[in-house]
Amino acid sequence: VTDVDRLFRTYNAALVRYLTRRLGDRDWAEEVAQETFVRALRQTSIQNERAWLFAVATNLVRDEARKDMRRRKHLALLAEEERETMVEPEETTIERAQEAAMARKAVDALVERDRLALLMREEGLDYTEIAEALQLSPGSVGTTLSRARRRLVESYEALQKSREEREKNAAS
Amino acid sequence: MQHLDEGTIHSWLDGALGADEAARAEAHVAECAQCAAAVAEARGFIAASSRILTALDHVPRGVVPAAQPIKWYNRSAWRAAAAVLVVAVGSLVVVRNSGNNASQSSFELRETPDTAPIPKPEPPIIITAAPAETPVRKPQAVPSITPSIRSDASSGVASSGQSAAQSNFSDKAVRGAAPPNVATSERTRDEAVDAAIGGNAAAAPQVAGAVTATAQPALSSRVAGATMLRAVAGEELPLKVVGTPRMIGAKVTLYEVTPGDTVTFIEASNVQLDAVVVTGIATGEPQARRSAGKSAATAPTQVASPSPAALPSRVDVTNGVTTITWPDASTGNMLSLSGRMSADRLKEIKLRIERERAAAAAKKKP
Repeated sequence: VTDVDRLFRTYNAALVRYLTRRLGDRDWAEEVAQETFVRALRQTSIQNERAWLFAVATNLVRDEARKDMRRRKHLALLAEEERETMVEPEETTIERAQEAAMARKAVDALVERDRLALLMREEGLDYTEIAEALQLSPGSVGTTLSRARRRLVESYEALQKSREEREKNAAS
Repeated sequence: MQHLDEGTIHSWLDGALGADEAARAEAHVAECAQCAAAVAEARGFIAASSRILTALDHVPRGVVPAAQPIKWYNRSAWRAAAAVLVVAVGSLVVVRNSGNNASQSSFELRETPDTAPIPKPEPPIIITAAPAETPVRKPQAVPSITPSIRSDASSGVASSGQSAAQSNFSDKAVRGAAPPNVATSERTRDEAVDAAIGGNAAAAPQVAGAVTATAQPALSSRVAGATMLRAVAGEELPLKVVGTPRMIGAKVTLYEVTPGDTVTFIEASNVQLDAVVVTGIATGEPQARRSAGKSAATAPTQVASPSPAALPSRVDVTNGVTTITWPDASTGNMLSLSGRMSADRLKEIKLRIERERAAAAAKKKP
């Protein structure tokens, strides 16, 4: 792949968000995303770019590999440019932080395949791409997603409920 | 027709069904109340899970701080705090011993072992010329005391911030654990550091008071203490650093001159981008390595370019922002300082920064 700049500009934001949600750490997510684009550089051709990028990023998280500082440098430069155009999330309030912590807990409670499928879907990958990235059969993506969503929402609501009860007990 | 299963409903709502299948699903849902309810529920799950996942995006930036600036900040702050502790412990020992020896013309300073904060009853070492001895003790004692301060003074926040700074790409455990602990953002760590520095300032009068209380002969030690405190104070910047945005090929520092009034100081590295090895994931101790690498890399340019002193500083004013650009006298790197203020005011600040840089550079050389 030679036009890695285009690839980067098209997919970096989604990939970083996916990885941040997966890892809970923006800086780490950016590193993994950069490594993913470095890998793309070495690839002669990629069939489905988005599925490929998400699959490689997912594997990188697993492998925690990092190499090729020189190319990373160039991509860091691009990321710097892009960061200026990105809107930073508002300042974290306690309420927000609690919500984020509960969301984190609920997401972590999912099995890995369900979690990844859900996070990929949130970034707009279609069923074929998710199937390709996670090596699932296309027919099972719907089932995987429905299960993931139900479990996520249910465990989040359970956390919310127990928090409300705690607060009520603390108040009385 | 049989009822739709949950997977099919989600596929349909996600637009993943073929046209035929989608039409069939739609027709069935129109007639079947049970499946219509299931579709409504599925819509709810889709929307709710999206919302939950969005909450994950509230990750504070800089959980893993850029190594260079924060490292420096931490180090001097800790060093200052550690030095104050040395003075405090030292004078405490002096106070204790001088209870017996207040009338004598010399005082005893008990040597504190590196590890134990409370000295064991050992034969005391008598030092008559205290001013000469005390500063010598500082470099030995500081490193050993630093770790205990880190854990004590700053509690979990600072130490987790620190471990995050030291962790590298493969340090999954630390990173995984970091977000909840550091969720209160960098500010907390800064507060912890400020508290440490504040403790420094607060401790100073106490120490002086304690030493004075040891009667006349202690005067010499008081002088020594004052000298040391001044050395400690010299490590703090009179200009407050309020931020160090990341930039490739340059070191950026935001100084706060007066509240709400900041200037931006940029030190461009003369280093070829490809030669830079320092990244955001640089770990623990690269300060020395980095400066060594930098000076090595800039050496050739220094030779090639005309003497930096020959290049005058340039002043530009655009949209009310004044920018002064000038070459660093020692490294030849281009420096630039900008802020919303008059050129004269900015020149004053430039002089202050230069003085601080010179002091810092002198300190770096052993």
